[in-house]
Amino acid sequence: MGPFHMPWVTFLAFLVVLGSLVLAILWALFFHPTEDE
Amino acid sequence: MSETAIYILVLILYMSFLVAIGVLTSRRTKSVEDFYIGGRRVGPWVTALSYVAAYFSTVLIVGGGGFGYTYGLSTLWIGAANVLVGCTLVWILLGRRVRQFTARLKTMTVPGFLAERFQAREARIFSSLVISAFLVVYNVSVLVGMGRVFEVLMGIPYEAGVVLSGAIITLYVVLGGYLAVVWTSFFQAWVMGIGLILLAVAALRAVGGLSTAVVKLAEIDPGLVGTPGVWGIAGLISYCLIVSFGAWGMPQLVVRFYSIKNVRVLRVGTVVATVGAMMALLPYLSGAIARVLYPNLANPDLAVPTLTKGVLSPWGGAVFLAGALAAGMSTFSSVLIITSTAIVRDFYQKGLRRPLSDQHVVSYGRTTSLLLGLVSLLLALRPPTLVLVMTAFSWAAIASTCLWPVVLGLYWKGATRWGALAAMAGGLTVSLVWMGLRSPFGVHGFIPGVATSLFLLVVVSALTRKLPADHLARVWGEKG
Repeated sequence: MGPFHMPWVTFLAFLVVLGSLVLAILWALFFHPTEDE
Repeated sequence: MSETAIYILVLILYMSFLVAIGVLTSRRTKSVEDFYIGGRRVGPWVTALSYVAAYFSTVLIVGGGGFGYTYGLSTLWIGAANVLVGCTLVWILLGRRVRQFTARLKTMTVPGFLAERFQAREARIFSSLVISAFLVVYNVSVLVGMGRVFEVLMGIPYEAGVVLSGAIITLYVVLGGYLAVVWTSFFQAWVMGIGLILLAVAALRAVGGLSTAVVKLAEIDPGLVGTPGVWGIAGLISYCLIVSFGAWGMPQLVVRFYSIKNVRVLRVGTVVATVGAMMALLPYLSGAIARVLYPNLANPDLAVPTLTKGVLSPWGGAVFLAGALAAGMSTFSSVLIITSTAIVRDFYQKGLRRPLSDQHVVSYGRTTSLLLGLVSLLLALRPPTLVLVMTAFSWAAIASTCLWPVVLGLYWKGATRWGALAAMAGGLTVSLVWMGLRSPFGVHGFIPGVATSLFLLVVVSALTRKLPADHLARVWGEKG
């Protein structure tokens, strides 16, 4: 059983959303377009 | 002040604000590029939040609550798929290339991109016809949703709600074109987010917190807290895919990347869009909580309206009402401008090769938007059966036609003209036939549609003549 009495596989949906935000931030940090773009 | 008076006051303020944006943006809308893609000068916040607002319609807010009520917490996965696949990955994988390729090809539309990238005028005509036909009926369904919101939340007759919201949206699109669409959508995303957060927080307080809600849901049926739970794996996965991966081929979403002022916009935009898309979890959560608080509703679509009346104050309810309308209006306006573009620019001017000055394209665009808005409005008043049937097909039909030609058109030089045409025709046909057979095995027509489209694009491209090397070098921006 995961947090808030949820099965882990259901709670994982929240972690996917959090992971998406982390992915977006990391991508933004390492995204360096060239000047002429 | 009575509840109805509060609702009407908030509504008048809200609608007036939208019309004011239409009037202000009309002064900045002069050229064709201004009218259709905002002159390619839109910044990160407006692009990101208008993407989110166009993505989520009233269907998510009211229908999502109904899904949460019926199927429980496994529906949180739909929201998670919306965020990761329908938003973050779209921004990361498509944003840069769409902006670069469409600028190099000097095109302002998805059918235009397909025609120029694959050197195929037929692709422009075919996709513009599919987009026009299915987006009009999609818009009818959005208006129907808004009419129901007026009826259930405010007690205002359905017809009055449809006419009021349809007329206001059409007015600001006709005035301000794409700029009015993105600026009103930017504002509407905030209203949607605030409304959904208010409702979810109030619902959690009313039920005694998330843990209590989960325990009580499990007491009703343990399948309401498990995944895939009462829905079943085939239904849940195919629905998650259509509402998330389907976004990759939807012109009203992809066009957001045409209009950014440069690719640096994507850095902030990707993060803002991801945060904004997180609101997609809330209707499902609120719907599941409504199942605990009101377990005996006759219709699951009443979950969110009943919850709104039960746990929010009249002012909170008015804000939520504005949020629900914002969701529908932003989607309707985004679809309206795309449909108008497909008809005037892609089908009439470029497809049929009718000479039109830029001034005429803008004035025809305004007139077509007005006519399309009125047609949608009239159809929504008494939706014919055929329109209701097509509504269920619309998202899948457009995605099956456009998704792979757009994605592989951006990533695979080996994709050929005949590969793209076969993928478009085959994907559309299979998805429609599959849905006509009432979706065998519980699998939505989107899945066989896009699978066929991918297969045909790869196989036919491998068997047919490649596009000229100098054309591909130009599209990919290679100096040689």
